[in-house]
Amino acid sequence: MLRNSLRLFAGAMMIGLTLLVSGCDFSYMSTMDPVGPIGETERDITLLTILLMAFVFIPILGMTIAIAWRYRSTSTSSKYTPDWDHSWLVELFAWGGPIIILIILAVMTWISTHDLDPYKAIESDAKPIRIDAVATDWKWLFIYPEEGVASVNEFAFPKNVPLEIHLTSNSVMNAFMIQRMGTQIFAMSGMQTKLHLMSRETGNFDGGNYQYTGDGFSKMRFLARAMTEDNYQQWLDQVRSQGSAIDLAKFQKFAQPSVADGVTYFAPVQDGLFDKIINQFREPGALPEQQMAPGHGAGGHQAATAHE
Amino acid sequence: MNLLGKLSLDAIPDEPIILAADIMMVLVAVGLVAAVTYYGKWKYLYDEWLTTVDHKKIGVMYIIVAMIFLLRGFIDALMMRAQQAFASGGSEGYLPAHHFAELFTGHGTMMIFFMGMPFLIGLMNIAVPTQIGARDVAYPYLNAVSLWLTVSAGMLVMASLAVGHFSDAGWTGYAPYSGIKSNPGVGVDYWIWALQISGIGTTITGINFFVTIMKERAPGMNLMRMPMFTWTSLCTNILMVLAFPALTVVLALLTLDRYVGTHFFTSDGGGNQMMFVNMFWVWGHPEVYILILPAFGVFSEVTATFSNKRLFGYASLVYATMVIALLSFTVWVHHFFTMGQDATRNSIFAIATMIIGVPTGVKIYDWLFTMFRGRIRFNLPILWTLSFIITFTIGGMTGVMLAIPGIDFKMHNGLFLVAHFHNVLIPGMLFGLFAGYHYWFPKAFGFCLDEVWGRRAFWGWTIGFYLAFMPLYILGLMGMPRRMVTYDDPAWQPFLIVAAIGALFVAFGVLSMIIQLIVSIRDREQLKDVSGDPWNGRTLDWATSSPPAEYNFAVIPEVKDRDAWTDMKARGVAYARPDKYDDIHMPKNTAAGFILGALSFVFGFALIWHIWWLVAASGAAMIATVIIRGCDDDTWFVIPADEVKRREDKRFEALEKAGVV
Repeated sequence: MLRNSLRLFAGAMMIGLTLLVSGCDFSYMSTMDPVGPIGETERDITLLTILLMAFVFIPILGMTIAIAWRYRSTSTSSKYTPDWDHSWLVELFAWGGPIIILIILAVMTWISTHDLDPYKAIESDAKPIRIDAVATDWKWLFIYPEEGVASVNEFAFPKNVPLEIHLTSNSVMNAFMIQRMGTQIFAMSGMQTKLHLMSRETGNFDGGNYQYTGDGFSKMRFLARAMTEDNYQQWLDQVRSQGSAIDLAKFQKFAQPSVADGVTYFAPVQDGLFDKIINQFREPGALPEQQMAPGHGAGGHQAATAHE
Repeated sequence: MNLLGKLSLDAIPDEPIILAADIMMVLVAVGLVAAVTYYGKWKYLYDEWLTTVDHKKIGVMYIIVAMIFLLRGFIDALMMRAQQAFASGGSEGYLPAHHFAELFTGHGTMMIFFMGMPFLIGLMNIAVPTQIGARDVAYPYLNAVSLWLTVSAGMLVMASLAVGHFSDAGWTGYAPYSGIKSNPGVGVDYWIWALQISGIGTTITGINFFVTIMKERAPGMNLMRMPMFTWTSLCTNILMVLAFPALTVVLALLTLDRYVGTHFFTSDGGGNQMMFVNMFWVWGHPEVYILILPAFGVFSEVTATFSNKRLFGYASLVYATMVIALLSFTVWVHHFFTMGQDATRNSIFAIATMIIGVPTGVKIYDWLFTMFRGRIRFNLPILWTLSFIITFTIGGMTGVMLAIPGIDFKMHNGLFLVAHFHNVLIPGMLFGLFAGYHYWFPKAFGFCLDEVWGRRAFWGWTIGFYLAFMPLYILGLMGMPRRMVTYDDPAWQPFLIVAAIGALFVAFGVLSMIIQLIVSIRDREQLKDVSGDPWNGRTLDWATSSPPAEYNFAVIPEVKDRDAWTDMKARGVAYARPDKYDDIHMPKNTAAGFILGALSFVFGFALIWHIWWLVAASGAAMIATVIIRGCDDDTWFVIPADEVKRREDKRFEALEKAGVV
């Protein structure tokens, strides 16, 4: 009996999930239209949770409307028990129902959170590519340490290859996310965070900063470009041929607050530039004066768009 | 030495929209002063309001503050909705980025600290002492201090509009963005000192009402006979006392970073920005329940009263409230699952968050079963409650979704999150406060509020809410970050236009509430409540006259049941004339609270603008005020038994005339 109802429940959930996935068009919702394994898992738990929550919400909606209507004061046919204020059965249901749903959710959360740990490498036969992302006001610098190149506001990578992204910030707290690939993570100065992503498809996906960082925040977007291995190699060649050299001193100049228009390339990139950017905040004297965005002056408002 | 610190004529904003708002503000202030002078009401204002220690009047003033900031915060919201409805695909909209940032910072700060908090503290002031059969709060003078500190902090926020500018760092003020390097102006300082001053007021309120509820209950009212609103207020007060110090400390450390160059939260010098985020939310999450629990109490009172039925599952509701209060301290990490901590830590805080859903769900079922087999009268308070139950359940569901790190990873800092917390705070807190406003208004003023305009307000708010925030859920799923002044994706625009239309519906609701108040004052004779019990109430607050005498109860009632007033009505001892009256000791009015508030405004303003001599002078004056008031032993007066009898006889005369007894 129990096993049958469990099977029925699981079956209903699977049918519901399939209907949701196949029946609805999510393509306009970037976070629900994933291109890689991380985003897919996240979409699935989102749908599963919505479905589970519907089991809670629909009865409450129905009960609220039905009870309010049936026991309206103008209806004299309904039962009236002014002193009835306790029932073990109702209490059992009121505490037990949510607890059962909690247990299901808790198991799902524990498993999915460990699966989706942004620090965990994605299993794949392909060798992961390391990309270092640096947030600065108000643009993204992506360093490819194995290739010795870097690009601004363009995040190119081959499809079906896991990406090992290390992030830091040259200014305040930023948050990195490519919606169709999944998982946001903070980028903070003087330290690094890590994120593993992969795309199974080629294409151009929107990415950006999600943590408010000042006047240029809304324009701190970038393009993630998933391409074939051949196209990726061509892209690297293009960066190498068009890029100018960058080291820490040049980076500090580049990092002055500005809204970057379009894409810029750098090559060659000084060895260990990423670590040097982090260490600026740790070694006394390594930080140039006024490297952060000037906000508002003592009085009046000056739009902080220096270096333009 | 510069006598004015950083202050100069440059502090007057040059942006036309802000300048217009400033002129409006000055005109309203001048108009108010002129009106009070013209009608010769300065003495009345001073004697009856500015120096009062009566909890009912303090409650009314708290709610006036809340209403003013509700208007201001809502105007900010309208401006943001208008900006985002237009600023698509290359259009810059009509607001510069920094002004937009001050709007979202101001909106959050004002709605939480200067609308939500004063509103719920105001309702607590009006209802809790009468619900427990007390003559006043435990510390009436401190109550006035709390009020005037809150007012002074609110005035600082208002002042930032005219002198300098407000913070642009969001209502959470994350470091290092709020640090001196990124934010050298006075905006963040306005934010810090407004929060610090109001925070001290709130902490004092928490202590005051905690002691009041523990020590001042009428004989026979043990803890499990306390009305539900008193219970939720008690838990809120405990949270205030325990949580606010975390905010005070995190703001103090940020202040040190900004004023004396320490490195608690800076990027360099060994500072730790993650510590700011942690400490802020150690206060910030309990704060959510500080805001919501009193509203849950209102819903409990309203559901039982308007269903003409005892509250279902009282013990469950009490335990659920306590469980929520306790758990609120164990979930703060869910505000930053994306900061890079390991999966086990995230999972533990995620599951702790979901556990809160259990007692919250229990509460929903208990309200539903209170209505079950009742006789529901559809007055406005129960309409707010029904809208709350349905709308809040949706917010709870999306809250459970966001509690799962795998979902939060995509939704964090996006509009889905914005939609979620408005979806819990608007029905969960605001609708409850509105229900309480309508419910206790006749208690505070002796006449009811107009139901017709109330219903119009209700529909404006409810329909407006769905139109304004459901599109934000979809935009969140579409990947739109919060706090964007402009955006490139044209697909977002239709949803933002719908949201702006929703804001207009809410504007109709707000307007209806203003009209409701005007119409009710005009028709106050028809709406008059002589009985003191217009809703057939169940708790002791309805045993007093409306408005209650300054001593609330001529004779302290004896409590024999949870629904003390219903029980007294059933036993036929309601409205019973006592055999004799005793002298009543009452606290004297004092100007000390008002003076402390005024001085704290000067103190805060001087700190913000680095006017150090004024900091020293106003600080010393505050200490002197406290000492002088502390040395005053003559703070009580006696209302003689004859005088009490005279007043009570008058009340019974009116009751007899109205046919109540």
